[in-house]
Amino acid sequence: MLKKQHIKTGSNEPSKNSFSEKEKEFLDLICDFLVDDIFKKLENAKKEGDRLCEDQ
Amino acid sequence: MQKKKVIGYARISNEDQSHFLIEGQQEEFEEYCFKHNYELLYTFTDEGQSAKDFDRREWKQLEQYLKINYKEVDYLLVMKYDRFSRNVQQALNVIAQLEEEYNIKILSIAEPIGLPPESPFYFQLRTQVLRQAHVERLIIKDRTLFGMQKAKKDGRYLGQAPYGYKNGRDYDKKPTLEVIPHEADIVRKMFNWYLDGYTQAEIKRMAEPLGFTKKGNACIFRILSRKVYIGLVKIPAYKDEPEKYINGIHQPLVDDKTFYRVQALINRKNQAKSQYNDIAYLKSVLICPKCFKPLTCGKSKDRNKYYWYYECTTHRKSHSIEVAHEKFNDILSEISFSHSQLEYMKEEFRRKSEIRHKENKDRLPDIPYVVQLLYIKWKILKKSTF
Repeated sequence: MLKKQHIKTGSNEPSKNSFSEKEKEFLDLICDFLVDDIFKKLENAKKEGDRLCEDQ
Repeated sequence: MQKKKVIGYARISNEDQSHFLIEGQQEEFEEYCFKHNYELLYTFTDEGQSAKDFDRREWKQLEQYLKINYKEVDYLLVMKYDRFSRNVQQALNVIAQLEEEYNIKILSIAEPIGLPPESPFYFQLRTQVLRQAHVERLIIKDRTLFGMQKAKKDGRYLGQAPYGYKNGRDYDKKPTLEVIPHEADIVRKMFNWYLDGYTQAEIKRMAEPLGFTKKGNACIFRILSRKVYIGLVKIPAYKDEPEKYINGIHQPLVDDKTFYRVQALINRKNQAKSQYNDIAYLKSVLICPKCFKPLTCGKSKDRNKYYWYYECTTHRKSHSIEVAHEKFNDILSEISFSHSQLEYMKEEFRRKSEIRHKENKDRLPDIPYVVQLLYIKWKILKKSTF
């Protein structure tokens, strides 16, 4: 059975900023997604709020 | 004795390796008719048309002509049978139609069979000639495909250049793509606009004043999803080799990161459109390993219960959801992030959030705003409850 493994880094326990280019790209992509997602939700909340305020 | 009347048909295709020119064929017709005392009524000429079928411009005109004037015509003259057709099945059908319906015989100048057309051996010999022409077409097709495949494997983009590029030739006079600077700028802007949240229709409207002239609703989508812009060339499936992308020799217009972020955004929007299914929750998330299209879901029923499955609409290959979910969970259980990776992401997330917040301050709610919003929502809730 396969053991739990980290995303491959080229070393057993990588220190900070010792990631490979590919790995860094992958982590950046996840961050981008998270930031995109959260800010989209916040923007939508603002839009919805504006609409509610107008209705009031 | 009345002169026999004939019409000529000359053809040359782009890929043909025969050495006939249209003018040469016409001259041969005239010479042949003079020699045999025939009257050449008209010559139809198809230039750049393949003989794989009869869907050719001038051939259709010829058919129209015969529909009206077939009584006046005795023979249809061709230089060789391969000028007439390189498709045995269709050729025999057309010959039967010409002979039985219109009583017109085909004469091939370069392949005099030397037998009366009524003879059974005439049919046999003619079929052999047509079969040879058919085989030649298959060989030409195979050779062309092989050549194209080879060129693509060398990283050459074949076919009409996509927007932002023009077709050019390199030092070896082989095809390549050359960047058109102002169009390339527009392409880059389109990718960035899409990431900024503009819709495809908005992007089209914004690009038009800059000189973008492509028409159609899907033109922006086509640009945003073409891998040629990150320097890749598509190699279609050929014989046993599956379809794949390789690095091309042309200059990319967009960096990989931007391109794949745009693809993720496009996919996410498409997923949002497809209805979420509680049971088959990986619908539109899983993709077909053959065509990379998102899988859809379905269910079949026996006497007692429903059986759910994921399915590729193109390949009609279905997978049980239980098995798919189990495998998916296995993959999830094998992925974890190391402490340093988590730390890096935390830092990056903070940094990117701060930048984004500064850029979009006006479009985001602040704390007093959220409090006010909650108060309004509470009021609405109170109204509807009591």
